[in-house]
Amino acid sequence: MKVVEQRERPVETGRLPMVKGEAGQPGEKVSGGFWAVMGWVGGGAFGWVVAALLSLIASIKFHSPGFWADTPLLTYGRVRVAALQGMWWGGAVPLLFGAMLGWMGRSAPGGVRFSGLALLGAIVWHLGACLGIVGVLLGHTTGYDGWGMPNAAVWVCVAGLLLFTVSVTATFHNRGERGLQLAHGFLWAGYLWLGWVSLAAFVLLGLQPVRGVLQWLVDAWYVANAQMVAGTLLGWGILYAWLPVWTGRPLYSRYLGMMTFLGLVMLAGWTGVTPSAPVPAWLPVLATVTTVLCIVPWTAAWLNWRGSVSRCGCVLWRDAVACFAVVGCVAFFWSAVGKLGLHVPGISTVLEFTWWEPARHWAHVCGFLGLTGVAGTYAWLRSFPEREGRAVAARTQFWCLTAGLVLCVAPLAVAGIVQGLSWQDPSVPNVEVLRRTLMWLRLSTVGELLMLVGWILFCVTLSSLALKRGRACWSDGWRRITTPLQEQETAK
Amino acid sequence: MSMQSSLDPQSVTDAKAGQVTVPMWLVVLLAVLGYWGMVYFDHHGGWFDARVYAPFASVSVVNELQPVSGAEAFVNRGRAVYETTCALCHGSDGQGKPGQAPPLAGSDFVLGPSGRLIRIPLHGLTGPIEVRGQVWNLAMPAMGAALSPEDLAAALTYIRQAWGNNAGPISAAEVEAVKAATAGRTLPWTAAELKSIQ
Repeated sequence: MKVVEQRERPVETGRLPMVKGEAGQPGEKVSGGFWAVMGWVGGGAFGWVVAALLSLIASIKFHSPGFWADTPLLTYGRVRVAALQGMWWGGAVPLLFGAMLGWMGRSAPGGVRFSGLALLGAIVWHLGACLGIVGVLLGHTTGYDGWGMPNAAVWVCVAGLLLFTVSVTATFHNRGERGLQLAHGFLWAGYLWLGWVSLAAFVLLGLQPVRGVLQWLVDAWYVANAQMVAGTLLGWGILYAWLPVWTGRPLYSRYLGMMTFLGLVMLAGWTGVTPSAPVPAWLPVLATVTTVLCIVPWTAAWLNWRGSVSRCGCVLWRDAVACFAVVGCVAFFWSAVGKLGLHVPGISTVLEFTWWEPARHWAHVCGFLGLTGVAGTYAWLRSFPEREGRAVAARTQFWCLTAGLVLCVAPLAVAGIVQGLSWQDPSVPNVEVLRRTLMWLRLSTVGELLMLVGWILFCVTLSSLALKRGRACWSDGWRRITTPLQEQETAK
Repeated sequence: MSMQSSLDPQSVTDAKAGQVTVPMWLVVLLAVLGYWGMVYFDHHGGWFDARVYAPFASVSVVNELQPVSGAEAFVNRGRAVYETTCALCHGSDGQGKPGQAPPLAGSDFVLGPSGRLIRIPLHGLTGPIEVRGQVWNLAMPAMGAALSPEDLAAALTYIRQAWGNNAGPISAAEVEAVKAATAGRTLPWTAAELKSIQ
């Protein structure tokens, strides 16, 4: 109760008292749920490693088709799909869910509720993701570019998601301050949006598949809603949750946040259809119009970010955790510009069906969602004493991921422009077009390698923290067991 | 050094947000983009009609380009033949060209008996001819001799029904009949000869 009273003091006072647990140790209050959150983010980190490795293999195979060519599990078609699915289901989503659970647990007295269920949910989810990736490698993919998970794996993931839902709902209900923050709206909307679009895609593509070009249409709709709406909401939710902590002051504007929220929810889900899609004209035209209209929520997000970090941008950049958010934010705005390039009339005729779209995808999923998830995870971990001495590892990981992201996204974007411009000249044969882009693709492979190293470092950091925590728990338990009973206790 | 930095994570515990209002220019931008979106959709979207695909703008444009059957298709075929074979001299609007070819719109030779009109492209025309009160003294080669009976009939039908002309169609059978009747002729027709044909 004391903690709640302290939290209800106005934030404008600038420096609120430290939140302390009953034992007076920082972080002990939120320690309930450590393993639950760790289950989600740790598994997510491992998922990123697997996805990055598969992506690297796919990238190498693109230059050297003979690389593991005799292994049916690792053909380009399977590895690429497994990498994309692993990146989303195994990496980005659990990492964001873990960061969401961690932040909600932090603002609830007693931490995460039903943490055992959340941990079990994490295990089940990761089992489903593993099944999915293995299934894709074995050739059981759905054949859709976005919705590639085999049905069996989806069922397992749904079970994990339901367990997570119980825990996160109870934790949210148990929050210390009853008022809703902007981050609550973003996180919940992102979470629910991801749930319903995934369910709809599962029914329409997995259980009762639609026919003809409608399959592609549903898949494009799903990708736009999952990544551009749900993913973006979750990413910005994490940022809005932690920005006040990093900057030491409130978010710049609730209204700009609401504008971003409403714009994304109402517009971004319609942006999936590419301009030259073989569907009735109103669908790609609507996608173009909504993409251009998305300039408004994206600008609102930019203004909110700029206002929130003004005069402390350098501090954020120097901070071992907030720097991930800075790069993630830059990646988001780059991917927004990339999305515009794919739809603006005139420019889209050059950039469509080129490497530009993979570049944008990397920037959004790996850059924005991935790095935001890492920032949210590390920000949550700061509440624990095990974090000590991990800054060097975090910095190394940061530079690996940042350099990898730049080296991956920028060359792919240039390759897309070169490819698109070359295709405008019908006298240039396609082999020549590929030759012109080859150097840029090689550079992007180097970027993928660096990112793999970054994700491995993230995984190692989390593992060592978990190990430290586990050892401390074990020592504490052992101490309690072996401590001689006091006289009063004996009397009882 | 630890992950704990100068930014104390516990110093602010709640994600409060300020009350800064949305700048007016962003609202104006939204309105401008919304207006552009409506205009763009109006011009390119086909108004949700499932029959309209890019790059066509509306269902009426699509309908115009649809292959039609019957008399309309015959006239369309005739227009294509006319545009490639006749329009160079007589003009796309059928008004003729000074010193080059007389007008076809409102011409008695066009609107008169079909046998008279069919003979002109089959063998040509020479000498003075009066069209809409003006005397032309030119020579027209047998431009239609190389055309198939169907193409020639279609072109002549188009001529008789375009630019305000309102005469009956000419069939391929009529063309073939005239061809058969004038099989041995090598000279172009004169106006007097044509006027004798009813």
